[in-house]
Amino acid sequence: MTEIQADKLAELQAVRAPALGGRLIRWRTALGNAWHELRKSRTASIGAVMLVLLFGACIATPWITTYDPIKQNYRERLQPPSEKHLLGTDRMGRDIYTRLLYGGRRLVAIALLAVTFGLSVGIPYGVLSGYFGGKVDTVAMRFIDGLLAFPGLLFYLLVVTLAREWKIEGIANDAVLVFALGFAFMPEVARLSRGTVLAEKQKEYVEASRAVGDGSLSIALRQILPNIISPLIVNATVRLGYVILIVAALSFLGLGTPPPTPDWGSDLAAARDYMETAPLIAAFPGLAICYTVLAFNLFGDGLRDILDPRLAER
Amino acid sequence: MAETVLELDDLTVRFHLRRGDLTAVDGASFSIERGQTFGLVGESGSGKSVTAKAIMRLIPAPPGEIPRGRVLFEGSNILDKSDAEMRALRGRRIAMVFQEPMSALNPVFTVCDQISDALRTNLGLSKKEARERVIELLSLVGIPSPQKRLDSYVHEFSGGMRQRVMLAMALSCNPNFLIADEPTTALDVTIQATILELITSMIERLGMSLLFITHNLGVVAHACDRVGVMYASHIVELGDKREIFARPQHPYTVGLLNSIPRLDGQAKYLTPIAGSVCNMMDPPSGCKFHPRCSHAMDVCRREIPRLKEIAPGHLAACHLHDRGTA
Amino acid sequence: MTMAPPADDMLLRVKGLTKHFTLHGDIYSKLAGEKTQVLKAVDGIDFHIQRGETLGLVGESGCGKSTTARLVTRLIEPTAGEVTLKGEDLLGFSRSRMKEARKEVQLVFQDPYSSLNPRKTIMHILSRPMEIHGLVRSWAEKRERVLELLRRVGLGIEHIDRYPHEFSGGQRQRIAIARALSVDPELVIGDEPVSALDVSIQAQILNLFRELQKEFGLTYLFIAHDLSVIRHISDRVAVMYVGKIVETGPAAALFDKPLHPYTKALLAAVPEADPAKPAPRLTLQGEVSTPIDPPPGCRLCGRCPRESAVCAEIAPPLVDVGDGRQVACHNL
Repeated sequence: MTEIQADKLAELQAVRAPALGGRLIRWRTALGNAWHELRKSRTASIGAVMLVLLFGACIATPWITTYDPIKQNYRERLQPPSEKHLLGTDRMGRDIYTRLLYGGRRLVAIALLAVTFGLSVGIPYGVLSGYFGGKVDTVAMRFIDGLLAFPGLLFYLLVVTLAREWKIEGIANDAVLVFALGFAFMPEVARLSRGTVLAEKQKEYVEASRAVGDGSLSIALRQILPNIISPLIVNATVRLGYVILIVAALSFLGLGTPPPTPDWGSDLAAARDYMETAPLIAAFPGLAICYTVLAFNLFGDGLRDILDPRLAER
Repeated sequence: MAETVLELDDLTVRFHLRRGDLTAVDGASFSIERGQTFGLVGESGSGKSVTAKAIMRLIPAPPGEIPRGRVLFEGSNILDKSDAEMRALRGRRIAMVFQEPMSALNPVFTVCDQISDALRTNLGLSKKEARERVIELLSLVGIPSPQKRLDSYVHEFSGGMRQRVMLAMALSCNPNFLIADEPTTALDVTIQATILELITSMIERLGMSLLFITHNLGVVAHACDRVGVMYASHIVELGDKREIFARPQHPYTVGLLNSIPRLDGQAKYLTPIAGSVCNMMDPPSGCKFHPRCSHAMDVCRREIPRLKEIAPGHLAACHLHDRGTA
Repeated sequence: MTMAPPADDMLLRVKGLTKHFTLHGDIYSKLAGEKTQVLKAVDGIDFHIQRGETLGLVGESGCGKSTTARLVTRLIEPTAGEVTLKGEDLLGFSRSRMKEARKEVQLVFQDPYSSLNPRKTIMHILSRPMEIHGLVRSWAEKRERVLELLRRVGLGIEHIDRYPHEFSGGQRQRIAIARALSVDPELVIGDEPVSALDVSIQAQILNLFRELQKEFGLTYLFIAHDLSVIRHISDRVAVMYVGKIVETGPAAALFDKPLHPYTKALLAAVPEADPAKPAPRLTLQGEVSTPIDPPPGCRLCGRCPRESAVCAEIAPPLVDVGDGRQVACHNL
């Protein structure tokens, strides 16, 4: 039987099926739909492919690299790309390809954690503020306004300097970065969620939920939230690329990642001295940054196109 | 001798959407004489609004397409005209009134600005002349103290008043043909009564012809001379108003008339038409109404019925009437 | 005053129900020098609904009928008045008693496109009310009950895991009705439940309402602006104008012989789907009166063909005129 018939049969079976079977089928069809939707936007598809490659490389890093990203090897410094070193070596003889991948892995992890942190604080903040309204909302939003007024760069500098002062190192340093970046992202998320909740709150299904006896918290988080998640996802996706850019920029300025940890930004900074003799050392980290930001932006933009017209269609 | 102002001949409008093709209007044909009011009735998805927009050439060309048919306005085919010629026609000879005055009128301009804009563009009046004409028009449509309301914004008017403003704008350049697309649907019943009265008196006074689009059979029964019933892109019945209401010939028309609750509350249960409108992206074969029709025969599943004259001036598109003819 | 029907027969009773909204009353407007105004959306209305009957509440836009629906279910808190549900004071209910009351009184909303959460399946939408009130114990029981509800409202059971956007307006309204039924309510309030539907679908849904009323012994408060619909479905009718009830009575009597000038005007303005019947005409002058800071006296003042001096001074009370009819007019 055709795929459509098989799906229909599965659906009918699910009607009487126990919970697990039904849910699995729904998930499978949901994923299938998502893939189909993705193909509609060329931008999103390209971005998605780029991201898949990126994430794949990040996950597979230990298996697709052979060198140690930190160990110096002065005998092989500043080598051009060759069979031995795919992208050449840097000023300390470290394999650039390896450093790029380990650097990327770290940057992507930081970005994901930071954005997740920003979302998990910002969304409930904004949604509850918007749903309950009144004085609570006014006070909460003025606080957000205050946070937004604070210049981002200064905030990062402040955090980084404090970290230096308190001699925070290693993983803790990364955690501080995650916190700072997430915290800087949070107000935007809160604003955006609050705005969409305000509009969504007026819809009849919200009134219907109240009429049926549902509690406010439940309505705000379980009923309204799934409806406003799309612009938030788009925003978060683009933000991921932006966060990577920020971390790289901070490291470039010597403020983010202390050496010798691989980081595209600090590698780029270190390569400045060798622009005339070995320009490729700068080129590769730079290209990596471009690629990553582009991938997130394309995917985010395409996602917006996919998600918005569907909302407009109704 | 009655002169034909508008004649539709086999008008077909198709939309090319991502999901597939949709034929919104299929072979629509009817004519409107001078001074006549024609009511185009149908439920959602019937294609009546698209028909109106096609006449005004307001169908966006990329997704929309008019593969065949003619729209003869005062003898010449509108579909052949250039953009410049259409612009000259719109407002001057054919005017349109829409359903939602709030979205059809520009909220950032005053009433005077909007109407005089049309006057100055189409008739070349000076600012002063236009202003005077606007006052004339506003009193024509029954807006009290027009001099004072001239410089008000659209949102300062109530729903009924806004509709009058839209009517004033439509009538400003003395068109001889007016298309009203559900002009009273968004209004309360008492306001609706006044607007209907206004429209019919305007039509009479100015000798205009009117194409009235609505889903409300009650409005059609009192405001129109001839009626066309549309279902799923086809005109299924056409004729004089009294004929159609007294002797409906198409099962859809009959069903529609039976589903309307009556003011004298006779029936306990209504007799609705079973099922719902077909999916226009994937319509049934043959007559589009056959899945819901209690008189459906074999031929209905195979062939789309064409409009046939049942009685003088009264046409219906139904295979039930095939038997009489050879 | 007539003898009110015996208490256990009276499901809902409303006295002096009022809702006033203050406009421009917040600090920003005050600083801007704007005058505070009072919007009297509902201004002291009385009505009652007996068990098993359908009360039709009719009026034009802005008359306060939708607000009334929300006041009676406490989705909006009344400014003043009494609401008695099955003999108990609804406005004095504790939170837990109010939650229980939400089982007894249910709403069906106007817009089928926004009254169902677009991100939830039908299964969720229909089972959530049961969950909230602890009416089911297992997933299987939930499933069974939802399937049962779907069948009752005439929808195929294969729809259970679909999303609202996959349905037409009429089907969505059936789902909304099923949702209301899911908690076995006694009173169902329909806030313009068929106004957004095509005529042929409207007829189907009206029939469904009737069938369900007979099958479950439901009581309806049916709100609409379409007079023919109200005539068809109601046993008794109440006519509202700018926050006040101007006339009540049995449907047949009220429509055949309207007493209040506004009721007469409404009936005269309805275009009937029969060219032989008289054309719609307006018997009132002017525009709908404003509910914002209304002047004292009758709301219809300034538009009414039967006006007299007293009409501008004193608002006419709703009085009994026999045969179960009440009218609020000085000049009958």
